[in-house]
Amino acid sequence: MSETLRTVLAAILLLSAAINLVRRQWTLNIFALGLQYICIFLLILEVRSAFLAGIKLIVGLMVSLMLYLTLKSSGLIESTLLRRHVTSGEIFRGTIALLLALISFLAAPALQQSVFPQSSQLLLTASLGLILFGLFQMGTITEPLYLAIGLLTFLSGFELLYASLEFSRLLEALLTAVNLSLALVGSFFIVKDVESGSE
Amino acid sequence: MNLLTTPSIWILLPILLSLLLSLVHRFHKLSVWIACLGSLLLAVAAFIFPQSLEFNLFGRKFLFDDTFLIFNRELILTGSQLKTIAMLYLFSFLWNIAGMRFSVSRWFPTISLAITALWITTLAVKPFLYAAVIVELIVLISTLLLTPRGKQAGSGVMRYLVSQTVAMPLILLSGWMVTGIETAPSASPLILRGTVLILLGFSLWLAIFPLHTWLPMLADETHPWVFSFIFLMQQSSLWLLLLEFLDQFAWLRNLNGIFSVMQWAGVLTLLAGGVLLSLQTRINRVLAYLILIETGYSVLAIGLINQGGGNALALSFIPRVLACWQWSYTLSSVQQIAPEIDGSFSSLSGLFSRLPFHSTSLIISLLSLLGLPALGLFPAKRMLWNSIANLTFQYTSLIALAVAGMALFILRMMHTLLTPDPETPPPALLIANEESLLQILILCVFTLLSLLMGIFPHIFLNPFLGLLEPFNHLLPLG
Repeated sequence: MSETLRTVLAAILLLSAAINLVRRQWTLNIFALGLQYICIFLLILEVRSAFLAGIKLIVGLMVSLMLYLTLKSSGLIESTLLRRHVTSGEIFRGTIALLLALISFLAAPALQQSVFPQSSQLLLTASLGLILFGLFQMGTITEPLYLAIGLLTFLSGFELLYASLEFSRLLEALLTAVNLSLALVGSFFIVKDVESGSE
Repeated sequence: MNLLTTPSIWILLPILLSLLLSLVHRFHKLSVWIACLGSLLLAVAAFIFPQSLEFNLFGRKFLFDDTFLIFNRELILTGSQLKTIAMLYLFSFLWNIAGMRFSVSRWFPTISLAITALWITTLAVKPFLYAAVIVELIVLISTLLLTPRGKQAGSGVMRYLVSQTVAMPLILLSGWMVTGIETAPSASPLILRGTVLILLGFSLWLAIFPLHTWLPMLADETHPWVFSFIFLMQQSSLWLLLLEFLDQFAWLRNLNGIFSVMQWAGVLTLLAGGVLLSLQTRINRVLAYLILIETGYSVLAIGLINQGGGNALALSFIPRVLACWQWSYTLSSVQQIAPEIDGSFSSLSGLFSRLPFHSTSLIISLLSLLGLPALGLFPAKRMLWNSIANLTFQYTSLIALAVAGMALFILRMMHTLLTPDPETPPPALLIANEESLLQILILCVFTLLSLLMGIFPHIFLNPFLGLLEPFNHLLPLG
């Protein structure tokens, strides 16, 4: 895969994470989450075989589907085409997203030089970006869906970074279990939220 | 695949049993009894199993292997770890057998057994850094219990999930970062980075001050019975995991100042717990601060590992768990008998005249945790206080302040329990005989156990010094 294509993929990856951070439209968020996992699959091919990278893709899409089906069965999905005004909160989060993307872009070279020499700069930028987006989302939101997305984004960033450092089948299996359990917990929280709201 | 291994018995078997329990979780009593029986059998088996892992039965010789292979990695449970295993399954038994009385989740027996097996996995997995991911799995499973029935997930459980998830990468990265640097000088930047990551990861896991804010929030949202099980199991296992890190990583335990940092972290956590407890007005939050105080003591004990802190840590395991069990059992029982108690301190006014045994039990469990002479935790705390006094006077005033905070809280609690609210009807008009004979008996047995452990520690507590046997690099024998 050419360097330009990989750069575009990293940009799409960060953009989809930024959409999840900024926009509060659940169908769009789930779509962005799925897209995030597709980009991770393509980027991780740099350090993993297609078979092993494929596991991450399947798990990611399963996670997105699980969250989507929970939202749909709870009647919480609204049309993606529904037009909504941009709120001041979205502008604030958008600015933060830009800042975080800039930080990851600027910090990646120094981080590569001093801590992770075997990881490529692009991979580091993408993983650092995901970790920062995830952390910000987790730190500012208490809504179950966004908390789950924040945690999944944070973990994706870490998995992307760790994939370039070490490989262990047991660890891969455990991380897969963690991702699926996280989606289950996210769905559980969403259902609890709906049930307690309807009482 | 060799199934005649210790991990097959104490990890795979209970996980299979918990899967089976998930099928029958609707039959609550049946699943509780299966979980109780399973936990008790596993605890007894671990207690009587020979350390050589070899025994004769009906004229046949059985030799168990301590290693189970999974995905080319190993799960190892050696003979020296059997006491720890027995202790963890004993906790699971104690919480399941009494939990039947309380309105906790129907999943409690299933999940508690799975959690116990997974905590043992964290102590068995090699490389042991992978334990970080298993801890994350335990946290995710625990959230199902920590979210109360019919209520939405509160901010406490969400903060808990976030803090524990953030800790996992820190631990994994630290392991990768310092692979093969045992020979590097201790001032190497890699070693310093690795140490910072490990300490930060454990601080998040153990809710060390100032990263403890989610603990009282979660305690307020959750049933005290569930909260006490999850966190006592978590704290007990994580201390052993921290000892494993110190034992396995020579660079970590030989780093200048590492134990001083732990001493300070322990003292400050202890101080925060004591001061915040003295100001507490919500009864459900008390257990969180008690756990915070005990975390402080344990971190302090690890910081004083070369001055006898290890023994104090080992001696405190069982009395601490029993005291917290007694507190959470009594509180859950009080809330079951008197649902009008809304968790505020004022709602407990005059409780002594209505529930005298429960009120006394609450106070005795607190006094035991305070370290009052003749009660269970006194021998361990006395050792720690003496070690600190012999080492330096820097910490003495801070620890005294923390103990004073806790003592003040106990006095406030006694005053509240003994002083009736003038607006409520006199005790004679309240329903008589609310405390059943069985409840009184249970409370008396645990009080008696605490007294016996405090008065005869050499009989009841010394066998638990064996918990430290696996850490022979950190604590060389003799």
